[in-house]
Amino acid sequence: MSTAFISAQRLTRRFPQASGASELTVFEDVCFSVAEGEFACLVGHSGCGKSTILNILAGLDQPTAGHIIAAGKHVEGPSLDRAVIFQSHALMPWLSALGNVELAVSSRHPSWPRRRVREHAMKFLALVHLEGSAMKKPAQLSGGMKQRVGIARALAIEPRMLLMDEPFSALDALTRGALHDEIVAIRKATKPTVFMITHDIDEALLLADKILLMTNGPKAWIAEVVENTLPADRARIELHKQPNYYPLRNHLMDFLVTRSRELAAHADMRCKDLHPAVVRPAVATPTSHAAAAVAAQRSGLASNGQIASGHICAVQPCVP
Amino acid sequence: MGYLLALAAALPIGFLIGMSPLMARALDPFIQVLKPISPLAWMPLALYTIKDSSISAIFVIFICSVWPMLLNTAFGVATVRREWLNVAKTLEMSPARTALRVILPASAPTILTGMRISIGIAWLVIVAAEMLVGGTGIGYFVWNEWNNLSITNVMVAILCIGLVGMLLDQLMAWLQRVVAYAD
Repeated sequence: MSTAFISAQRLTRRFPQASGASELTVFEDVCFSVAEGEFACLVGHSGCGKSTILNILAGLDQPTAGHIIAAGKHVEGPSLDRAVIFQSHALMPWLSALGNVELAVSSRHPSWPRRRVREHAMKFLALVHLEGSAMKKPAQLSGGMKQRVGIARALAIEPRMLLMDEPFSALDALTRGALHDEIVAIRKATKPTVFMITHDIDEALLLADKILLMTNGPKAWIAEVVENTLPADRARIELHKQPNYYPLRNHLMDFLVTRSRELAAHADMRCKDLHPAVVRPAVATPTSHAAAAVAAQRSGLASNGQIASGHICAVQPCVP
Repeated sequence: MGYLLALAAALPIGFLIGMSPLMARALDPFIQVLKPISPLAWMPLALYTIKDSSISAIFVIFICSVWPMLLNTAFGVATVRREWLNVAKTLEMSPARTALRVILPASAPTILTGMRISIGIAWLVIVAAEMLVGGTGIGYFVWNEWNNLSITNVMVAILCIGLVGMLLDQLMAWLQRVVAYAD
């Protein structure tokens, strides 16, 4: 794909095991791509190597084989072009909220005078509505506020892409919802390229343009790319009223509950070119139904009975 | 003086050991052998090689206060949270900047604990060393007054030693509070 902004090619990561004999292959030949300005979510079970993929993308870990190209460059180490929002917020507890953002800003712009750094940091704290708590230490902030500081810190270095590792999983549902709204607002304003890991299907459906589905580990791979067929201006409050919401949600649920396991046991069902199948779950229309059913069968999607249950997938099967 | 020298030596070496597992393994045997030696056992050797009693005293203070600081610094640096180091890496911080802006503040409470232990030991040893070397200091004063059989002066001196020790410890406690952070 020529338009890919992030492109992972045959990414494999093996960890040496304590017992010594054989290495543990967490994932193998993972291929995916993310276009510029696109919001991609990676969904999969624990232990399939999601965080490892993100760490490799961030440059904090090295793949055993394969490589990632981001913004036209081979990823070899960490870069200010790729900001990471950590699951555990990872704020420095001895610095104030402002100090944490300033540390990032002054790393990005070492030549800036202190005042300019401060103004820039304040601008991004204001973006996440924390200008009133700028002088507070992380210990004095609530979980949601800490994560907002983490988001402000990541955005303040004005990266070319954002990497988020389950950023909201440690938060309660209400706080998470509020932060989702902020991410949606920030997306509208700045159109960043985002790669996010999540366990939350609704979160993925609200935020993502496409959802990468990973099979269970070990030897996991990205089996499918689900394109989000919900309207672009979707709001959290009426997400479930969208006609395509349930087909999408059921498809994702079905993958996570049964197919991620089934596919892991049948690695031979994998396409020869190793690229994931592209799926567009949507409400059935008479014309799309037949064609999609055929395509779905060819790519092995029909094994779970979702076609029979009335939901339809427009499938672009991989070339065998 | 000896204490400050020890601090100047212990911090960089502690950082080195804490940041590099290779250096930790290389230096560990030496530290393990040198650490249990009583500082006063160095005294004859110091007097023989340095041939100056006050510099020998400084050396003894140095050798007794360096170990707690060194080991605490190394421990504090080695246990800095991975996620903070990862933040520093993704911000493309240089190793020097990471050490100053992330590792030093993160490990400061542990380092201060080492400094507090050290200053206590240094104060114990300095009194004993002054008794041995003679000439100056509160330790010499105590021994001198004992030779004069002036028990009241000895008791006053003992009280003074206790009070100064307490003040030094309180100073360190105050420093510890300054660098402490709530996690």
